Amino acid sequence: MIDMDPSAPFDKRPDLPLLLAVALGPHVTWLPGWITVWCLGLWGFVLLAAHRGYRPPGRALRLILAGAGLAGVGLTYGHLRGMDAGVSMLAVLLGVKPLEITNIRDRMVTLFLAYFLVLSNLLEDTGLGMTLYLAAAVLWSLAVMIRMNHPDLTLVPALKRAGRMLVLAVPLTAALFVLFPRLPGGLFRLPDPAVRVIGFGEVVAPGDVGRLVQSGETAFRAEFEGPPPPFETLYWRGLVLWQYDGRAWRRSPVPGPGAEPIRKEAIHRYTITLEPHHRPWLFGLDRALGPPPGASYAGDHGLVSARDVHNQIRYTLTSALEYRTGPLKGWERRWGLGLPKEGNPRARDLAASWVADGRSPAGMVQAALDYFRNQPFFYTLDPPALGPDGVDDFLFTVRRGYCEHYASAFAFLMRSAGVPARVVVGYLGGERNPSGGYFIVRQADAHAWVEVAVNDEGWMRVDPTAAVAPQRVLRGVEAAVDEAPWRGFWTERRLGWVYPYWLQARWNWDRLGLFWTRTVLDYTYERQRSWLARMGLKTGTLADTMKNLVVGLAILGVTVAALTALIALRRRSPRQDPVREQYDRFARHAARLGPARPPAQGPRDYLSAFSRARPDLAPLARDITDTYIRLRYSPHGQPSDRKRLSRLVRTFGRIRR
Amino acid sequence: MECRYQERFETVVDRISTVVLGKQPQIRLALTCLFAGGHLLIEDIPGIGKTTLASSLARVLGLGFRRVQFTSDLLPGDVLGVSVFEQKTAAFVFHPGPVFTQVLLADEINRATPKTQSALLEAMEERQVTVEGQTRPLPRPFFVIATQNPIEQSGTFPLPDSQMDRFLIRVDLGYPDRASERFLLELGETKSHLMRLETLLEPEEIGAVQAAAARVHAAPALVEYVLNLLEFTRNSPEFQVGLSPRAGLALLAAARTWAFLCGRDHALPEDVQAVLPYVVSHRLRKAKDFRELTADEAASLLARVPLP
Repeated sequence: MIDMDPSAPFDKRPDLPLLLAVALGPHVTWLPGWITVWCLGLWGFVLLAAHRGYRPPGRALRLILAGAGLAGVGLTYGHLRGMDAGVSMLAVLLGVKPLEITNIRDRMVTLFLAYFLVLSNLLEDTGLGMTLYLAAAVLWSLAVMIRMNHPDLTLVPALKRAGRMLVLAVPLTAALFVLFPRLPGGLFRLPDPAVRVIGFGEVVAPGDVGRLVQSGETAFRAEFEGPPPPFETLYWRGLVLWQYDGRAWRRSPVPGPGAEPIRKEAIHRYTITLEPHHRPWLFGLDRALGPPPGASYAGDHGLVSARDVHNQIRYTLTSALEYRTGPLKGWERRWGLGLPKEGNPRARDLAASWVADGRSPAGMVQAALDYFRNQPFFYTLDPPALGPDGVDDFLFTVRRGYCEHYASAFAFLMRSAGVPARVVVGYLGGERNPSGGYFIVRQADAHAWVEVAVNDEGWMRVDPTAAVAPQRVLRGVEAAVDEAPWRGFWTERRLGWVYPYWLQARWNWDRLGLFWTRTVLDYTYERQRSWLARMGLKTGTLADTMKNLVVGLAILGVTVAALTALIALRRRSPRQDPVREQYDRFARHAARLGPARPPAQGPRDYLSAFSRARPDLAPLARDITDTYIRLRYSPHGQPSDRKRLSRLVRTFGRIRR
Repeated sequence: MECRYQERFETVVDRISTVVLGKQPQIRLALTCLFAGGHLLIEDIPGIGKTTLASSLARVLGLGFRRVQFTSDLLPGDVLGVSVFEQKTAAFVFHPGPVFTQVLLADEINRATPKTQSALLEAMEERQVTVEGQTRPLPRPFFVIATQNPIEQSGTFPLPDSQMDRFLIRVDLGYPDRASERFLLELGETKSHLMRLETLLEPEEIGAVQAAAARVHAAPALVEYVLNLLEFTRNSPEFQVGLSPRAGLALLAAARTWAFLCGRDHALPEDVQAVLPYVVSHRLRKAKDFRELTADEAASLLARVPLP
């Protein structure tokens, strides 16, 4: 069973390489391609070698392979720090590991390393889908471990046994989940040098929002307490962009905190589940009245988290849909009028003509909107490139673009005309999930608009896109363009009558994922404290927490032990002799293969009933019955008969149908 | 349970069935009863073959056979024997009654008065007869086959429970099946066949068989099973009274003999199950209407007591 021969051929069973492949699976989406090829190639070689009977490669070759793999990782990343490089290293070394498996100890080591690889998937994704996948991977690895120790066990019984073990582990897992001290801030916050950023950056250049709109990825989900506001008021405010350099708009660190609005109406309270976007900004309905815990409220009412958002987070906000912020401060007016010294002369001229007309600031806003409305502007996600004087090109020649172009040009015109203006980026609208009643806001809903100050009432929102493509505001981005690229393959046209079902399934799955987030992932340090406090447990100090943990586990242990004892007693009472137990095992299995034994039936009668139904198994059953009778009822039972009986029953137990 | 006796006993069964047609199970039980050293009670209407069974058993086993027809005016002395004053010797001389035999057929035992019944039953239990202060042993083996009319018939004195307990096994002979009865009618009578039966066992052999049957191994698990059965009848609300310890002994003895006749040196639960309906049915009464059980009703309790 355990072969210690160092030059023994490979294990023929594909258990371990398959387990490694399962553990690697989700990583394939982001790992450098060559690592996937490396791993699958080496594991495939091991399987092939096992079947062809090749000898394992020598130590030198293995060392060279391991060294080459590590060097590859170093070259790919330029360093060996952080999560991605770490996981890559683990994967590369696990690719080589099966080459040197010769005994059970090696197999166990590989198996435990595979557990690490399985676990590392949680660094990438903690969603429900991933959790289910990892549960299946753990089940498979348990089955592999069971088969290592019981080599004659086939796959299905091994999986069954592994399943039983997993189910038995659930109470302990649940107790540890509830009681184990949580770290404030979470465990998996590992900033990475090569992070994959999604969403808005500090700088928004023409084309940035357009790129975002191509993506169907979820930005966040919003659950309202009470009825949600109308669709066209769902302006999810993100960054405020102050500085214009002639091409791109840029955020500025604003002295905070933001002042309370002087008038606030249409108050809504809601919770946002934000997907990780690896930046600190948080999104809230225009306009949030204060920051959530752990975030600050900047002078321009932007919400900025203390840390970059590397994990899914949840926060609750209150927003007033109608508000007045009051007279502008000096720096706001100064920043709100800043423009480059040169560039875009025609736009400046247009603004100057409005000033010459003696229009009021409000009149100038109206004039700009009228300009967009009356000239042949066209809303498209695929606009042509703009020259150095981008605003001029857009306003007077191209006249094709999307929200970002309109917002940028509008803000430029306002500033040129002496009206303080700033560009705001965020999301507009979202998809209402009918199953659950919350909103799914995607990157595709990315939007840019403008805030201007025309009088002492302060900043107010103006959306120039609405002047050109009102349906974008009223019904969402899909209504404003012909083809929705973020839908990918799954469009109504391709799916036909399946589409509604597909949509419903997707909504249900999304809701399930949100439920998972809300109940499991959002069980944070604070939640744990308040929950345990509600249960009457002190959590003030670490000692208290550890005490809770120990007491909880002790209660759990005693309960499990008592239950186990109870079950054992019920099954064993009155205490049975081992011969009878063997016979019962035989009878239990025989009941699966043929007629069951009534409890009052004698062994000979059962033998004849069973043999009539299964003549093919009659000789073995007769052998078992005779041995049993010899041991239990006759004076001739020998100690060797006991061994014989258990061997026969084992043989019988392996018979399948 | 299907059962074949070991060869020589199977021959005995075969021979007797040439005379008592289609009654193999009853013949087996009668043999079991005899070799277990017990007495047999046959409860049935007249003319069904009770006498033929008893006499053919006696012939095949080479035993002496007597028959007593019990009537209401039968006295104990008519069964046990009397001392008569002999003129010649001027002394009382004991004239043994019909009980001094090896196989005694006590026909319609419930027609006799209780006094006569108990005289016989004492002889059955003690295997000796005490008349006028002198105790005389009965021949060995001593095997009583008593028959009884069903209680409904008038002019009978039903045996009390305590005396029913003396019978190891009670069977109903029952009507023969159609094929057997056709054969019987074609044959006309069985008397001549009976006369032609040859002896298959010597009387000494019978003693040896009885001794061997008593030595059959009853494993602790089997004793446990018998205890469970006894306990069940005592705890179950459907019986007026549970089985007595004597019934337990009888059950075990009958099971041992059955196992021996089947050629085994150890008894199985199946042996207990084979004999139980006939060993306990006349010892149990239903709580509901205070009637004795039929063999089928007694068999039904087996299904409710799991093997230990």
